[in-house]
Amino acid sequence: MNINKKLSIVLSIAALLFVTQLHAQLYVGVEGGANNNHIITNTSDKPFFTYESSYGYSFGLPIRYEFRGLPWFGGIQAIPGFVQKNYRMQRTGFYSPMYQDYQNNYLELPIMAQFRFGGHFNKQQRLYGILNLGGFGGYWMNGHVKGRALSPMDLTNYQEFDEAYTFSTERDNRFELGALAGLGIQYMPNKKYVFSIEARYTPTLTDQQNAYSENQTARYNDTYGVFVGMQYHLPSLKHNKSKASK
Amino acid sequence: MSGIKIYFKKVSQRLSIYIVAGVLAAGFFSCRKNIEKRELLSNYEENNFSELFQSFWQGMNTNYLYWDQETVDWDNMYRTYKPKFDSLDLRRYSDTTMNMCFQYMADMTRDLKDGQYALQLWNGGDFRFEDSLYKGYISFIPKLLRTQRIHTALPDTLFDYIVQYNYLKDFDYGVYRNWNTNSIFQIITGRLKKGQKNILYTSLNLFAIKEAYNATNASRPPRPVIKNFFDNIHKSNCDGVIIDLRNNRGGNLEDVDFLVGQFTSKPMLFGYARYKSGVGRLDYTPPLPLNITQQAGATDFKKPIVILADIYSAALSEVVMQAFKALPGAKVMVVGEHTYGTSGLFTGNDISTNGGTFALGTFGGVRISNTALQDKNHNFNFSGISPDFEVKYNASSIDQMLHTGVDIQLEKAIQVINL
Repeated sequence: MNINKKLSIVLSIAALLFVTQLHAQLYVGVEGGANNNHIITNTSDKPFFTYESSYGYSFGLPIRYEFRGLPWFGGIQAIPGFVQKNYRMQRTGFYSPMYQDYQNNYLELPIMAQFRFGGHFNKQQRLYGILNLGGFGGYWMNGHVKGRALSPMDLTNYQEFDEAYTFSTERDNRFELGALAGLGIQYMPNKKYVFSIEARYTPTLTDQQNAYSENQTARYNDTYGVFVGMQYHLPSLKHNKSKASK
Repeated sequence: MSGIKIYFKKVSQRLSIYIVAGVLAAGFFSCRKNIEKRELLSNYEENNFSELFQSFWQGMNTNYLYWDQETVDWDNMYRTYKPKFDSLDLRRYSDTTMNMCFQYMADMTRDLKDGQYALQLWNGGDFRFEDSLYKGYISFIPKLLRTQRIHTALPDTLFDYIVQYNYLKDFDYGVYRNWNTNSIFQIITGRLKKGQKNILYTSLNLFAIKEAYNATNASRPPRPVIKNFFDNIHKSNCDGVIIDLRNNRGGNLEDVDFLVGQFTSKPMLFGYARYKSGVGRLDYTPPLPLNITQQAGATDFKKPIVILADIYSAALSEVVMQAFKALPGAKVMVVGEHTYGTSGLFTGNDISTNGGTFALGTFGGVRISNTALQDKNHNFNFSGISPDFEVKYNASSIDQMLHTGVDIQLEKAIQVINL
């Protein structure tokens, strides 16, 4: 990514933050969900070979800063958490008994701006549609590979394996960056609690591999998830309360 | 401020936020590299030297099994040799340009570790390798060329004659021809006349033991010879056994179980194998355990086993030796020279193993292992299995053998097993 793009991203995020007043409300919570991860790469140069998506789960601890006086802006939200990005390498046709299931575990920090639509439900309750836009950084902690290959000692049979994934410092890029877009519904029964359900798309923008070879084919994760979450409005700090009372 | 102005201010505020967010989102996706759609290797056209280079470099890049072990910088080869191949297209096509092409490919791959590597040029060509000029060659096999520089292979008939008449009693043999491959399997068995102990001896010129055992049509049926040998092993009806694998270039994978499985009553791990698992240069399967399966009637053989090997003992011979060395409770020793150092096999077909041999259109082909082999400690054997007792043949000892009938390697094996 060139310097101009980086600069525009930083300035845009800063602009978002400075648009409003600085009185904020803090929400913390928990969310969890399931996802379906796809590997985006090319396999047309391998016969009877494809990658298939796989399901995983994730959970996180959302922290959201909501700015007063901007009901359409849910605030800036960070959700440090854990996410699985799984996929399968599947041989096809005559070779379909052979496959490899990859289970990859990441620590992830998505940061997003939340936009809200709708609002008043009745005097106390609020019901919003939400749009989350942002990005994330992640670290590939560990993995597991399980599968079936041709048995070396019996070519009419297959051999199964199931073991921890061995990282290669040359091949594997353990840090990833990506974008985030989510659509959902946010329900507030009162001023203290927020419940949400959201569909979220998190494509990586960095290759899963280091650039170690000429003519290398890139490999990206595209993850689609559904999350349910609950947040709690933390009471304001004492010095803010006394400021407000003045 | 009037209501309309306030309204427009709020809308424009929101709109500006949405526009910024949308631009950011669109901008992010341009960070992704373009994913090029590539052809199958078998669909590559080699209409000129540039295309031939792409086919050759890409085929090796995706199908070769040892890049994580290599010192050859394959990316540097791309950068160095692509311009050279491109410049061949600027010349008029002739034997000279074909020879130069062959030379470039030989230079790129001469230091590769895979003992099975062979570059084949259907029309033949000339190339220089080390300090020699090879004229009109169809194959470039660096491992074999280096091995031949140590010494040429001794003819099997020489050993057969000397061993039969000078060393064995209860001599027996079997011969079987595979009419599809035209390969001839021969087994010799007997007991040694020399030494104090009752030593079984067998010589195998290649590995097709099970195939020969099951053959219904053979000039000299090997089945009773093989059965007699295995029965003696099951009963441990000897003080030791010498297995002669000199000049045995390999053969059928099933023979690892069929031979070594006669010496153990339970399964045992003797190494690991791996295949390619994806399109990337470093995509490999996890190491798959290689286990010996005990054969019907087998018992645990605990007598000394001496294996005779030389620099032409290759491929499956080395796998068999590795398997014998893993036998629990058995004392296995190798006498002779270090083996060829194949480190890989051809098993199944290359599609099922995701790598291995590939064609270069009508130009030729590249032969490489599709199964990489590791020992029990996950080490690759590129230098060959070293003997426990080294006895090398040279011109003088060969001459002595021809005149006196003394096989110095077999003499050492007898000495070792009689200790």
